[in-house]
Order: sequence, then C-alpha cells, then structure tokens
Amino acid sequence: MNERRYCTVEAGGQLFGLPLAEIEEIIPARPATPVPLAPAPVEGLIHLRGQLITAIHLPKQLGMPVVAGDTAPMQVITRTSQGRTAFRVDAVGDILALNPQAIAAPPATLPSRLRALAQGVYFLAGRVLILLDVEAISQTEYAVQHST
Amino acid sequence: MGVNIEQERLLREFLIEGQESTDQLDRDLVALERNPSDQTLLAGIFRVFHSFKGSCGLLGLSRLEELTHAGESLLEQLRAGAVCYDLTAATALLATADLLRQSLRQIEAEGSDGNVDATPALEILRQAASSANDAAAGRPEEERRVIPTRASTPRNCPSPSASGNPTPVVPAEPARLPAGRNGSEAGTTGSSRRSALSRSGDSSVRVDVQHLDRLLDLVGELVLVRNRLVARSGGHQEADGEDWRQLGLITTQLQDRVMKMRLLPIGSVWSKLPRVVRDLSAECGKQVRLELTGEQTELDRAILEAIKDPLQHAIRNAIDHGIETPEVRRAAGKPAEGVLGLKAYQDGSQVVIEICDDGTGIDRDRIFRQAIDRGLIKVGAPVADAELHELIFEPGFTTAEAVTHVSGRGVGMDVVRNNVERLGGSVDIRSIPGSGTTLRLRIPLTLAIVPALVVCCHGEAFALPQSSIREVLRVPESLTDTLDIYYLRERMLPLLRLRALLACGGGDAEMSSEPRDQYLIVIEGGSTAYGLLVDDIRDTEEIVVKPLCSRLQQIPIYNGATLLGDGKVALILDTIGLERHAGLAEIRPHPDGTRLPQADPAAAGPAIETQTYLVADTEGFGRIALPARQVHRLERMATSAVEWIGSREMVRYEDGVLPLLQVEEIIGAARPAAPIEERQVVILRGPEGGVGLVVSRVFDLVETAAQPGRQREGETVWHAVLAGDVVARLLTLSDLLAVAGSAPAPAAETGREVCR
Repeated sequence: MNERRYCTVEAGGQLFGLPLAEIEEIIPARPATPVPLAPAPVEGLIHLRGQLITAIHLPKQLGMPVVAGDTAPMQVITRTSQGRTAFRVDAVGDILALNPQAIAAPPATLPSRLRALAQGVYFLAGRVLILLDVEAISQTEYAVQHST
Repeated sequence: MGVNIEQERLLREFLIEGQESTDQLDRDLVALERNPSDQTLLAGIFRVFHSFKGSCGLLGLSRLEELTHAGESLLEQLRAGAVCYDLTAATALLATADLLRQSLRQIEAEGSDGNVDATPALEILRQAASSANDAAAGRPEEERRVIPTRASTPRNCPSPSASGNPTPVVPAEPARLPAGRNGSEAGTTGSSRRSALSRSGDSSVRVDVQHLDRLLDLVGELVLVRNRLVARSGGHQEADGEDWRQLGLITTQLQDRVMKMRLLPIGSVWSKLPRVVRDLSAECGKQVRLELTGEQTELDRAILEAIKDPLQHAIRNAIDHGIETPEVRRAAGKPAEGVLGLKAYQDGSQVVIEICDDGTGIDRDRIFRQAIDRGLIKVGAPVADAELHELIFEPGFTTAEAVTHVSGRGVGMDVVRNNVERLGGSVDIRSIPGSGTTLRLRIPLTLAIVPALVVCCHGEAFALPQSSIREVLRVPESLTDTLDIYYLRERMLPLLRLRALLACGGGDAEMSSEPRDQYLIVIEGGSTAYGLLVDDIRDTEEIVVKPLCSRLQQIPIYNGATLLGDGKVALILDTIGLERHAGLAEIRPHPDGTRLPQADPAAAGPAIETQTYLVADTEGFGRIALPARQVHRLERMATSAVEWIGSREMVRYEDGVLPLLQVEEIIGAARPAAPIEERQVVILRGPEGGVGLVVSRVFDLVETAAQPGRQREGETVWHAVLAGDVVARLLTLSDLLAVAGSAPAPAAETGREVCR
C-alpha cells in the first residue's frame, strides 16, 4: 500500500497539505529582508545557516485572505527543482499518511488559481484538505512588477 | 574486480586526454594547411595519432584503433613527402579528428566503440593515402620508411605494439595488437605511461571541478564568518591585535589563491577557434585569417564557460556578415583575405575581449530602415550612431538579407548581450562603414567574491559592486531636489534616485528624520554612466555573491544577494539593470509591441545628426537653449561673489574673472528681483572665452536634429528647439560674449579682445 505523506498547514483559514517528500524543515517564521519590485506573494529573503532562501507568503500566493492567527506563524522550507523556498503559513498541523485511492481530483468549484496548484483534495473530519503541488508553485511565472 | 576498476580508470583518463588530443589535432591540422611542409607540425600530428592508436589497443577499442592506424599511415606518407597536404588529405584528416571526437562521446556513453562506424572515414583516408602508393610503387623499400626528424622524440611512452623505435611499418595492414585484457599488462603499461608523463615535465595535477567549487564555497563561508567576527568585535580587535591580523591575512591569501585556481587562460577557449574559423570561412565562401592576441589573459572558468557561446556567435556574425567575399574585397581595394582579430586584455578588475573584423562595417541605413519597420524608432526622431548600434542587440533584429543556416536569424546579438550582462559585464559595438566592426565585451574578473559598497535606501542595505563605481560624492540636498542631471567636471550625468527606482517607503513609512539622498555615486562601466542618489553609504565589504532563485532573477535590477558582515541580507544591485529600469536606455520598443501607425518605411531618409542642448527657464519668458558642449558647470553663487566693474557684473571663477549675464536682460525682459542665491548660474566656456548666465531653473537636456536656422534680429539668433513641446531660443557662447562685450566692460581686465 503506497501511502502518500503530507504535512498539514493552515493558511488563510483553509487547510492545505504539503508533500512530505519535498519538505526539508519547519521553523518559526523569520523576518524576511524585503525585495523591492518583487511580486506581492514574495515576502523577501531569509537567512538560514548561511543560506539565503526566498520566503513566500503562502496565503497570498494562493489568493487566500490574510488572517491574523493566535499562534505564531511558521515557515515550511521546501526543496524543489527550482531550489529552496520558505512558505509562511499561519499554523502547522499533523503529518498524515493518505491512501492515494481516497484522494479526489480538485473540484471545479475551486478558484482557478488554487486548482492550478492543487494535486487533489482529501476529506478530513468535515474539512477539506487541499493537497498542494509544491513543484507547480515553485514554477509559477510572475510578471515582474514595474514601478513608475 | 581489480582489473575492472583499473580498466575504468584508464578509460576515463583516455577519454579526457582524447578530448585534448582531438582539440590539438584541430589546431595543428589547420596550421598545417597554411604550412603544408612544416615537419614539426607533421611530427606532432603523427605522434597524436600514434599514441591514440596505442591507447585504443590497450583498451580494446579495435575500431578506433583501426581508424587511428589509418590516420597514422597517411601521416607517414605526408612526412615522407609521398603525398602533399592538399584539400583531400586535409578533409580526410579533419574528418577523422571529428569522428574521433564523436567516438569519444559514444564511448563515454556506451563504454565501448562497438557503435562507431568508421567506414566512410577509413575510405577517404585510404583514398588519400593510395594516391601516394601508386606513385611510390616503383621506389625501393628503404625509401618508403619515414626518416625520423630531429625534433621528434616521442614524449609519450611507446605503445605496446611498437618495437621500441619510431620506425613504423609499411602501410596496408593494420597491426594486430593484443586485446589488452590482461590485467597485469594493463597495469604496468598504465603506470609506465603515467611515469613517462611525469618525467616529461608535467607538474600539474588534474582536479575534479566539483572539488574546486566546494573549496571555493568553503572559503567564501570563511570570509563571511571572518567578516561577522570583525563586525561583532567592533573596535576590540586592537586588544587582540596580532591574532586578528593573522586571521585577516590568512583568509585573504586563501581567498586569493583559491580564486586563482579557478582561473584559466582564455587561450583554452580560443584554441578551438582556428578550426571553427576555417570551417566557417569555407562554408561562407570567404577567406579569413584569424589573429589571436592575449591568449594568456586569465578568466574564471565559470565565466569562460559562459562566454563560449557569445564568442562563437560574434565570430559567426563577423565571418558571415562582416567580412566580404574575396571579389568584393578586391573591388574595394582590400586584400582578398579578411582579418578577424580577437584580443583579450585585463583592464582593472575587468577583462576586455575585442572581436574585430576588417569587413564591411554596419550598414547604418539598413538598420535604420529595419528599426522603423519594427516600430523601434519613430520617423523623424533623431537617432545618434550609438543608438543605432544598440538596436542590433534587440531580439530578432537582423539586417541580413538572407538567413543563412550559419547566422542571420536575428537570435544572436541579444543573447550575446544578455549572457554577458548576466555575468555582470557589458557589450558595446563600434563600426566604420567600409572599414570594419569591433565588438567589445567587458567581463568582471571573478564572480564569486567581489568588493562592494554597501548603501542604504530607506533603512535597507544594498550592495553595489565596486567595479562599477567611479567615485562617491556628498551632495547637499537642495541641489538634487529638482535636478535630473548633475555636472561633474566636464560631463553631464543623468541622475537616478534609488528611492524612486525601488519605490521604497511607499507613502506610509516616510520618516523625515532619516537622511535622504545624501550621496551621489558615480556609476560607470562600458557604455553606462550615471549618478545614483542614495540615502546613506556604509563601508565597502568583500561580499560573497549568492544567486537569487529563478523567480527573483527575473527582476532586472538585482544581480544576486549577499550576507553582510553584520549578518543582514543585502540585495546586490545590477547597475545596468538599474539604468534600464529607469528608462535611460534610449531605444524602447513600442509598449504594446505593434508597429507604430505613422511609421512609413518609404519616408525614412538617411540617418541624421543630432545636437544636445541644455534648456533653462527664464522667469515667465519661456525657455532658452544652450549648446551642451559649451556648458562647463552649473553653479550656485552668493551675492558677495559678484562685483561690479563699470556697468557690468563680474564674478571671480576658478582661475579668472567671468562676466555675469542675467538671461532676462538678453531676451529684453525685466530683471527679476530674486537674489542670485536663489537662482542658478550656468557657466559656459570655450576657446573664445567664458561667461556666466544666470537663470531661474535648469530644465533638461534635450537632443534634437533640428538644424539651426539663422535669423538675425539685432544681435541675437532665433532658433526653434523643441523642449518638451515648447519652443526654446538658442543662445550660444559667442552670442553671450557679444552681449557681454557690448557694454563698456574693460577688455583689459579680462585680457581678451571682445569682438562685436
């Protein structure tokens, strides 16, 4: 039985799952040095043990509302073909092992922006868990903002 | 088990050395074409084939062995003078070299030469050799032997097949060699080969590039840690003195040496060029001589790798489009053979590579027409030479009438420039129609660790590579508020404000107590020159350049990021990207990419010359224009500096005294009440003399092609210059001097004759 393991996170009031295979570590969110002219979801660069990692605000990236949570925000450091990225999330939940048969395709009711980045959905105790395709997120092309 | 590992290692060595050998073959074969009877060259080429054959035998690569043996045979005949090095022989040997190179790749992938089809190559080799066999059939046996030349003492250890002396066998049957699978034989020959190499004086070591890179990373981290320690200890270093100094010294030396390890002479990239040029010239029907200068100039290996393609492309262009066919050249009075010169030299912290040809130069008019066609410039807009040349770098641009498969698709020059700029370099181009074109690449010496100036903008730190900084000036805020240009000695620099470029500080976080726009950094490099206004500057630091992730790399104004000594993250600014972002680059495609409706190719005339004017405001009486080349400086003056001599105002300036004119007086308006402190003085200077012109405000620099139309009206000349849709009146230095002289000013005072 090939279960797939995901780490659940809260972002903008919605539950998401990030593939465990692509997660390197999870740390309390660090302040990022802003990168002027970068697209809005890019918070900036964080410094982790001598490495510079791009920090992305996951709710903004996914078009979710930005909520002020009770718990301290965390950053999930992932590694993809495009390098390492730190995703800021509101909270981190449990690690789940899911049966691939139980994963449904992303429904058409999802906003298109989310649907493009989702691998599937899973129904978890009354809530919908949206499984994210981290590789797809890392390859999102942005039109670079030009000011003045 | 041991045999296999040994075999594998030998194979790897064989592949690496084989690569070098085929490159050497290319060089020597091309050189041989120019000097067909050069025995040293022939001997060298023979040796390459010979040792190649030996190694192939050792490793059981029978097909390659056969091939190299056939090549060796042809070489023997060439050395004996039985065959002369004509086109057939040249083609045969070059084709063999190509096949060898290809086979090496195949062997690397597949482990054996089973898939190598040497039949066609063998055929042409035998054909080339047989033309000699027939001729030689009548000669006695001894004369068919090759006479070893004085110079040829084989450096390499003899292969297992040779009996010990270099006299080869009569061609026709390839020698049968032991398959070499015997472990001990392979082992001993292998080691004797290696010791032979070391005996011959090779004092270098082969190191995997990955090891070098890892070493460099570590040294980079060491530099960072050292910087952080220094920053943290503040001034306390003095107390521990000696150890700190040692640490600093050793780290710097370590860094230097590791950087040097990555340096390679550019000749290593150039060595392939003689062959490339030969093939390209043949393909294009041109005769081209390649001249290389400065092959020993060293560059970081990563940079060398990155410029290989741009160089190739530039050379392709030069041969295909630059240099004319021999007939055209002769008709133009040039020698039939064109010259393609590559020159490399170090200039400060940069390496300059020039690619120049003595061909037909860039056809201005053709570029102009194509630029109009593509909507890149408007009809009637003035275009300077330099701007036209810049157009060549637009993607898809080509003035080639026919796209050859060599070049002309227009996908090259922008890639050349992009590649070079991504390395932190620049490209510029100079051309004289009929005479030739020179492309100049400027590339930084090293990539990874660079000295940089840390500047602040709205509280955030940014790094500016030292190599682009000419100087740093402190400027009073008042002067920079309204100006978009700054006068530095005799030059005018456009001004960029970092705050504005970064859109820092939006609206909400404005803190008036913060220092603003206090420092002007003069940025210079290649064709770039401007002044960058920043809030504050900190120290210079050696920074380790860390690349940004691919998404952020798209932002043109950054060239990576770094960790400063205090542990903070700083983005590294790309000086060329900043300029582009600010829109200083003159030529931009139409925003929506379509053809401008009014662009009419038929109406495009020959390109026109332009003039630059400094435009200034008068108090409510319109604008005046002054020829920029006559403007010396812009000054602010105090009333105390002005003296009255007779009815003329004069001011002490630099080494002499200048008459001071109020612009309103000249245009016949009333002089404003504002004291001179609140106005600006434009100092004009020329061989005829100098004058200070007091104006309300300097407006802008304007470039225009309008020809001065002379209309005499009293002593002034009317001229229509479009300055932001407003007509400006031209005043030249001579006009002003005439006005200054018309008042009874004592000429003796200024020591000049004032002409009316």
